[in-house]
Amino acid sequence: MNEYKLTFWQMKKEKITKAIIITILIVITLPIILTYTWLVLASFSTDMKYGIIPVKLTLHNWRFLWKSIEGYPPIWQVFFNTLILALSVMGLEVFATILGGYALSRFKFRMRETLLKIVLVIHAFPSISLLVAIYYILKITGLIDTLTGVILLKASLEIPWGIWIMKGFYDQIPWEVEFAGLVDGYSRVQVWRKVILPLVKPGIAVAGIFSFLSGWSEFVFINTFILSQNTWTLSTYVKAIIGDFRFVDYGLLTSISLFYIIPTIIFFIFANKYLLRVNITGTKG
Amino acid sequence: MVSIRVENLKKYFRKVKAVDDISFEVKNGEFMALLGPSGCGKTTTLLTLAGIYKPTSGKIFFGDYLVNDVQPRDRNIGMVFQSYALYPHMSVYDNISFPLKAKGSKKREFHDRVVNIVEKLGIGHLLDRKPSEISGGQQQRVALARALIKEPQIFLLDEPLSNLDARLRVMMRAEIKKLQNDLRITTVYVTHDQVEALTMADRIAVFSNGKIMQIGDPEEIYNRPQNIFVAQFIGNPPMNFVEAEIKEVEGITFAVSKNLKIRIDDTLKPYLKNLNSPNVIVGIRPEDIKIYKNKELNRDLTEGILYVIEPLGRDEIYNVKVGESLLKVITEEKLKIGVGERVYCEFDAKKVHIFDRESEISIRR
Amino acid sequence: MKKRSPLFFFLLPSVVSVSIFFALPVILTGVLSFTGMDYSFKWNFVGIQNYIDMIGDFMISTVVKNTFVYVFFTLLLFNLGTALLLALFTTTVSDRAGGFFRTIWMLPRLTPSVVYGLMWIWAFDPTDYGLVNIARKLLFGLPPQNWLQSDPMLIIVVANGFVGASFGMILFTSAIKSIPRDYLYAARVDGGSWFFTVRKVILPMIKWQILFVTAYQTLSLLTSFEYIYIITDGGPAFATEVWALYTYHSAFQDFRFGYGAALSMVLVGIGIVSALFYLKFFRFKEMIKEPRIEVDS
Ligand SMILES: Nc1ncnc2c1ncn2[C@@H]1O[C@H](COP(=O)(O)OP(=O)(O)OP(=O)(O)O)[C@@H](O)[C@H]1O
Ligand SMILES: [Mg+2]
Repeated sequence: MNEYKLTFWQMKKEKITKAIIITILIVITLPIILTYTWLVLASFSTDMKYGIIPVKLTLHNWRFLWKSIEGYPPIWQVFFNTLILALSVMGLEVFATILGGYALSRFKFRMRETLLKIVLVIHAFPSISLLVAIYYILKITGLIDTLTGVILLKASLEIPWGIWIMKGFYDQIPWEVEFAGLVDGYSRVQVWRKVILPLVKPGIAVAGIFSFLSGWSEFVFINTFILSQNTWTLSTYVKAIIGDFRFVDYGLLTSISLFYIIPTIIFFIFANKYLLRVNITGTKG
Repeated sequence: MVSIRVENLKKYFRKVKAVDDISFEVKNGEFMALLGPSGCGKTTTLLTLAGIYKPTSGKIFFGDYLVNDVQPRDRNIGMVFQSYALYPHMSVYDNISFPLKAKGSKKREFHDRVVNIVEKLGIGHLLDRKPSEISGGQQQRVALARALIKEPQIFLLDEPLSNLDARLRVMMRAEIKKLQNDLRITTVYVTHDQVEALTMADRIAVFSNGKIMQIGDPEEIYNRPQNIFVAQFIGNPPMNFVEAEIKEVEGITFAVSKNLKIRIDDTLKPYLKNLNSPNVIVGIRPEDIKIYKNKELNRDLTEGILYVIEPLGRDEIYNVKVGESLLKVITEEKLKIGVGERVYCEFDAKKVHIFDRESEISIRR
Repeated sequence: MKKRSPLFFFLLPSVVSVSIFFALPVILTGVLSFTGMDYSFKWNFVGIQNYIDMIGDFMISTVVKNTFVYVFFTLLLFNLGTALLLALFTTTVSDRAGGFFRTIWMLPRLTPSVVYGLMWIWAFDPTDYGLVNIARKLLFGLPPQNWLQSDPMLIIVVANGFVGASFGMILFTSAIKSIPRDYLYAARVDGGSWFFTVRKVILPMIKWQILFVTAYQTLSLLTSFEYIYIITDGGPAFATEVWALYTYHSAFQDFRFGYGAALSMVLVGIGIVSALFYLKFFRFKEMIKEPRIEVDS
């Protein structure tokens, strides 16, 4: 059969372009794939060929789960510290943002625009540059070296982001819904609690999950404001172990790290669909 | 210029059968309209012709060449979109010369061509403006210029007039037709507006639900609809339909329903053998019914009650209630009849359409 | 007595917490920068001495140079360059493949910084156990190199870049996806190659997003030090000591809180200026529509 008069290049151009693009994508993504693969494989093997191919599988690296490493606090204590931190940050942030987001989405008041601008500015503002002053505040309030201090701080700094996300979810609810509630004789607060809140459950989930993860991963604040080992979380624990065992025991390092990122991975597997959409407005770095 | 042949083309989006096994041919230099209601697969067909969509199955030929695997850029087509798709960040000049630049031509090589085409389309004074700074009709012309600048073999237009106001639409209709006539370029024109199709096209393909219901020239489509879909889609006001039964009374064949009796013309009689059963649907266009105030002798008249009158300026549409059904009758002469009065209708026996009630297909297939 | 408005109830928690941990520290940083406060936490005001010290600080020139190199290259190569490349590439291939690659690129952002740091420490491990050295050996037969000694800045840029690219990637991807498809169809029909279409049609249409990412990420990078702290801690010999990290070291390693506050003020200043810049340029008015219900509050 005849072909439309074409050169070989014209016929294959599209396919070749796509092939090149896929190849480049694979190559630039390879470091990520390889490092994460290594993390998993190294934690379950005694020795690695070419650094990444496991030679012999073992659970020896995971001994830290039942036997404390000398000179370090027990892993489960550290684990619970981290959990408390993450859950508290999540609770506080959800509490503050379901209220604040609603106020900025639905109330009309003089300061509204100013407040929204402030939220946006803080969101973009490098809170890390305030560490010195925050140290002082925690010091004089006696919150230095306490988990409570870090929890309050972390939650507070995440609130502008959460408000912005929650406001987005509130904005999507047609105001007729709210109006119907008011006509039925509810007060503004009742309408919010009984009618609106159930409708923004997905928003609560998003704000909750992300604040949990951000609390779970927190490093700088713990590292700066927490001194005693009893109050360590997994991030400072891992950091200290990296400092100690750096050139010695990747097996141990990777298995602790893997243990640390389990919640992240679970979340990643189940929610990666939403990840790409929701995370846009709320990221640092 | 080149002809187009489409063979058993199918395009599915997952479960949605956007185009479901269609075949048609567009001759060299012909103006073909794809006509159909919203969502029937016209745009999908056009984009498949353009090579933007890959067919699920079937073949597309340009001339003798199978082009299924040819990329859009190599198909040598000019295309006009419903939204015009003029690049908002480029001037009119840059928009029009885009296809030439894309091919790697330099400005000194194509400048004359741009000037030439903008002269022809009367947009020479707009070259420095952005698309947002010109009117809808002018945007339309710029889109035409961009599609034609590379002197394509095939011209594809997707509802190019639907964003214009009614007056401009009538004007551009004529202009596009003239342009096509001058260039004699093979054209596929998508529209949901039957007037556009009937007035502009050499031939029309009527689409419904991804299938082609009929292909023919405007005269054929209008006067010999092959099925009920085409019959009711084409024509404004639409054709009247009445369920009836074919009966022979004293040697004369009638289509009979409870309230009316339509004589079947001799020219139609030979086709009656195509029927599987006497159950039919009779179609008659509003302009093929005559309306009388008084019962006249020697005529086959059907009695009805005048229900409402819709004046249209030159014409008037009389809605006549016959039994349960409402017939629309269009006429130029103004009868002095009041709503609620008794009137008499006469059907032009030669213009009656008869469809099999089961298959909805015309007996004159 | 006037009833407390419900608005008060809704805003209270956010306003209080943000005031304590944000507004107050901003002011406090300013005040502290005029003191010579150290680990004894005494307020001894020294006027602008800290700022004078800053000018005379022999470290500052190194720090500024490092900061510039770090921000410029990370931004250019990754937060913009790779981000744009990923967005363009993943929207060209099938939705499935594109989504897959984008998801992978989100991983670093979600990984706790210490774990992420560990992976780069391994990748650039000086023995032939590290990823880069293995690759060099397998591909070119070269002996292992101590990257942390020889090219610390490279490691920092790459490590930060692999996290930073996803921000722009996502923003650009959604911008590209919201370009009306007719524009892209028209470009394909009109014969543009992939590259031509990207240059002439896609990039001009997402230029606002590019500008936004540039502005936003510049600020983020200027003030970020977490990964640097974990991977090199500014070393070796201050080769990766950037402004934010220097601030951190001054305050929490040398306990010069007053001086640290003064260094912070530079960042705070940049932050405030950028914030004003965003508000002016990126039409935030559109994002803050008035609510429709007008119940008095
Ligand atoms: N890219 C696509 N993905 C999935 N479904 C599609 C796609 N494009 C079209 N469809 C579906 O295919 C059918 C035909 O669509 P098409 O756009 O061809 O209709 P059309 O005749 O051009 O209608 P209109 O007059 O509204 O433009 C519709 O049901 C539509 O929803
Ligand atoms: Mg269409």
